[in-house]
Amino acid sequence: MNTVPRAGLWWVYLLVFLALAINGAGAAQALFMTNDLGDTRTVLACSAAHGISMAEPLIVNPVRDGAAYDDCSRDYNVELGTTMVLGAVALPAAALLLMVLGGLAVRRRSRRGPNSFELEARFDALCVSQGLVGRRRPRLVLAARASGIRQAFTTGLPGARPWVVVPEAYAHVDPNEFEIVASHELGHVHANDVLWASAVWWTGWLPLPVLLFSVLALFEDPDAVWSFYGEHLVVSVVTAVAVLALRAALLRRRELAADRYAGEVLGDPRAVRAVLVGTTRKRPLFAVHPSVAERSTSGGQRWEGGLIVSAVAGVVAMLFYQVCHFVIRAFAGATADALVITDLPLALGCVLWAAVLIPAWTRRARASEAGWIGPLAGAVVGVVGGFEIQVPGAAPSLPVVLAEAVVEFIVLLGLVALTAAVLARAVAIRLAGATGAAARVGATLAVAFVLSSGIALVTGVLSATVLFDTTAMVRRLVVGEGAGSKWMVAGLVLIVGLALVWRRAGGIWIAVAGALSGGVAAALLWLLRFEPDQSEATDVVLAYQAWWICALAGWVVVVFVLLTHRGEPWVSALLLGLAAAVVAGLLWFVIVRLSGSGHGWSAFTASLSLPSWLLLVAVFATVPVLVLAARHSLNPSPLAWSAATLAVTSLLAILMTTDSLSTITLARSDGDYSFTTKYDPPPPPAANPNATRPLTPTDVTAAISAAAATLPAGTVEVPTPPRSAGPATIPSTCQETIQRNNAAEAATPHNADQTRTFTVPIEGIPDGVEVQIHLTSYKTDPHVLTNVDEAIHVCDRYAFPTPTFDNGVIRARMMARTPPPSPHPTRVLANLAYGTKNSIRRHAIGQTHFTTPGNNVIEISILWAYLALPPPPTVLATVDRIPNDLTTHLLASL
Amino acid sequence: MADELARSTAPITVAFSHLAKDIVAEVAPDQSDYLAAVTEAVEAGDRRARLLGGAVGSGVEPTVLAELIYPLLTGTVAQVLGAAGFAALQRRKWWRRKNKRGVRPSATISITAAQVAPMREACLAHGQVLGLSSAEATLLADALERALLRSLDDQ
Repeated sequence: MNTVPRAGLWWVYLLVFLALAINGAGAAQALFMTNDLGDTRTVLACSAAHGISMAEPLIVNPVRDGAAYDDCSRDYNVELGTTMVLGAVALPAAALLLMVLGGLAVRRRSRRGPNSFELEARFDALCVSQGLVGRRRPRLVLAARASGIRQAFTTGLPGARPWVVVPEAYAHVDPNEFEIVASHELGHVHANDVLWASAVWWTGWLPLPVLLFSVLALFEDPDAVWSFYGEHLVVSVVTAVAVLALRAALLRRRELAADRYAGEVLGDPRAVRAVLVGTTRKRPLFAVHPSVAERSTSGGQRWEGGLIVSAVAGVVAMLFYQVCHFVIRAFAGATADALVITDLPLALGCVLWAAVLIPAWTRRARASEAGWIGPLAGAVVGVVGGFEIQVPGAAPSLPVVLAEAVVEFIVLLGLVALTAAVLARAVAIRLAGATGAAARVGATLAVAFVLSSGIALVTGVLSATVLFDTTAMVRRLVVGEGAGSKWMVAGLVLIVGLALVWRRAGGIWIAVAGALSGGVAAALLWLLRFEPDQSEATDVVLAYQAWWICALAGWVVVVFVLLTHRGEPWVSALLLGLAAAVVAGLLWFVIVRLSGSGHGWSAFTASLSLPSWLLLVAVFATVPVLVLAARHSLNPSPLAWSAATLAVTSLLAILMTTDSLSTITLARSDGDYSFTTKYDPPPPPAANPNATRPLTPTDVTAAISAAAATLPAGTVEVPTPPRSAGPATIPSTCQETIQRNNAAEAATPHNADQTRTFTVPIEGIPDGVEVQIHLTSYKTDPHVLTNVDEAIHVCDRYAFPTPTFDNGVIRARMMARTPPPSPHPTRVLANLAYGTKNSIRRHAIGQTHFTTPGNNVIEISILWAYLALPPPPTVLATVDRIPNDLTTHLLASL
Repeated sequence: MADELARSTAPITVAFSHLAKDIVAEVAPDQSDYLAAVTEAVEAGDRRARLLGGAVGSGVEPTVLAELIYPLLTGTVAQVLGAAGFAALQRRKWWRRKNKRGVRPSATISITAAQVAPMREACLAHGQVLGLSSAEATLLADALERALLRSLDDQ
């Protein structure tokens, strides 16, 4: 008997766990949404208090409203994120529990038949020969005929010894037949096939019922279920079928592997095939055993890493990215750094993709499997498909704007995925030789960063295309994606990762020629066009064009190395191309510095990173051409190809210089564009020097009357309620602070003080809006704004007991709003109070504008209420205008 | 002589399980005990265990005579007696029949001496259909013939 090394299938467990976690997170989000576990109404009310309407279509200016929206939705998002994390843990845990229960059920069914010492002895010898001793030795169980077990199988429980169950009939067969079947089962034990097969089984069967359960709250209205979750349910059904079909496909392959294992253990593959051939039957989609023909052949070297596994890895990786994006954004906030909420999840998903695919493809390369079309196609389909589909139960994670560019998105993402897949194949072939851990890790990260950089580029470019509809913005954005530290790190990892698996095989002179010609041409472009008094925008565009030339030089190197290679070319081609681009950029920088016309050291890093980035962009865009080039293997004469590199690079540089390539690279006018989201606040009211003077009661009365006269028709003046201490609050510090501040203001001597209250009718707010105008002229600084700041800090969240409301409490928040532009110090305080009375949710929204010209204080308060949903944006805008206009008129009339 | 002629044409009744026992005892006596377990299981309906996702199987079943004998006898009888005769063995209505593939071991057949030879030939042919080699099928066919002749003699 021979000892056979273990085959690792850790990647199957990883994909299974993540598939369950992804489905669990999605179902948890659906449960959260359909049951409103996060109190959406409070988010709506808080947003309304900030003047942000959540009515469709939602337009939230991230500059003006982003911080406020983030603040209002923070609690909701944290609860949503927590729920998703719990779901991601719960579903795998449930699957594990079902695996255990299923295993126990199988063991219970395997009613034991009579003992057979001879079979035990033979089995023991087989186990010892394979190192399956101690806790790893499986138990042999002879199943009684009455149990209905007719075939040998392996079963197991997580953490326990596996069982090899054989029917009682094997006590009466030829001993060799028993050894063959037992060895086959030991092949499954060796590979831990039972656990992953059981895990995948539940991965196929669990998600759909769990999703249905999570949307149970909507079942009263089937139309709503279909409307909101119809697509999710379809995806869930399709993925369930696909998972079970994949499980069957993998098991068929594992059966062949177990057959081969038995042949290797017993040293007689032919005898093994004769016994394990099975009976003739068709091969349906869900069959877990190979056909007679497959088992009869001497092949069986069917390693994982084909089309299906590659596609699954892509789908799981991209769905994993979506879930990470949801969860991280939920905890970090929508206005957190894009590096955290977008780039980090994308990197995690792409690293997962590379970490699963590259080892699988390395094994495939070692087994000298012919044909890479299937795996490459699977990888592309998996990445694109996984990005396009939603996590079942979860909201779409793609930017909404990309819905208008689906076809373009699929095509561009396909190009990026193909580039990454081709590179993954290349490194896998290199890694199939003897390499160390550093090479494996470096190459994996390199491929992952190529994919993540490309996906970020595609989503950014298409979003810009849809939003701005100008090619200039798109060109600037393409360049801009490589301008930050993100690409600095990714580019470095890419180069180092490729270098770790690189084996010198020609192309060096092509790279040298490319670097020199690119650097010189770029410098010439700069020197010819540079003018000392040129604007910064022109400066930037000129530099970018120069770096494009460096990148194009690198691209020529890539093409020519692919054309002239011997063996696998992509690692050399890309590495030499990147090196040429970087060196060309460095050469440009040195020449420009020496000429005294150029940039300071701040451009140094950009001159290294941007050419490499732009080269990668060119590779993404032209990968079909490059794949065709790689199919050739022309005469690698160094002199001829170096000269050709020089010539082609120079030609491309001339085309850049004459703006012939500006459409796809950069045009001179592109420097005029900026793609920063702007918010242009309204102009501040004109300053009135009289506003800061001490006011008499006559002044105050006249000013308020003049301002009140501008209120809409139908406004009615109502008695002003006396200023009260307000209800007791929880925490008590809030009320104490307000009372203290009120007392301090009352104690501050003043020249004049008046308050008038009005009810203003507003369409869309049933009871209208209460407007209070309060104008006080103090003799000294009353520190009102300081008091407001303190109150906001202390009373961020509070409650006050109200026996007439359900739960006996009204909850409230006090928040700072962005004040409108004003020539005087200003604060805007937003108030929100909400509670449930007789099962009806009630909301009260208030805002108070404080403007302090000198020692005078203008205080405009607005108060209104609504029941179910806040009013639409137009109504909120009307309400917001009232205090702004009143303040403006008051200042003007002082 | 008349008595002998009468005996040669008169049908005899023999149970499947009796034939199976005779054949196994002659050809593979070590499987006699196992045959008893098989007989009991087949009589009870012989439902296969469904293991769902909790197991990974080999996909093949052991080739033992005790497992093969009832399908062999079923096919042999069906070939000789024809569909009508075979259906008559199915005393239960089809929807109440647990073992849809064959007859129960307790079922009996009526054969005459003239049908012994055809039974042997049918067994030989059917055995090879079931995957037995020519020598194995011949062995079983001969054993069946002897079992049937013994039954006739016993009567």
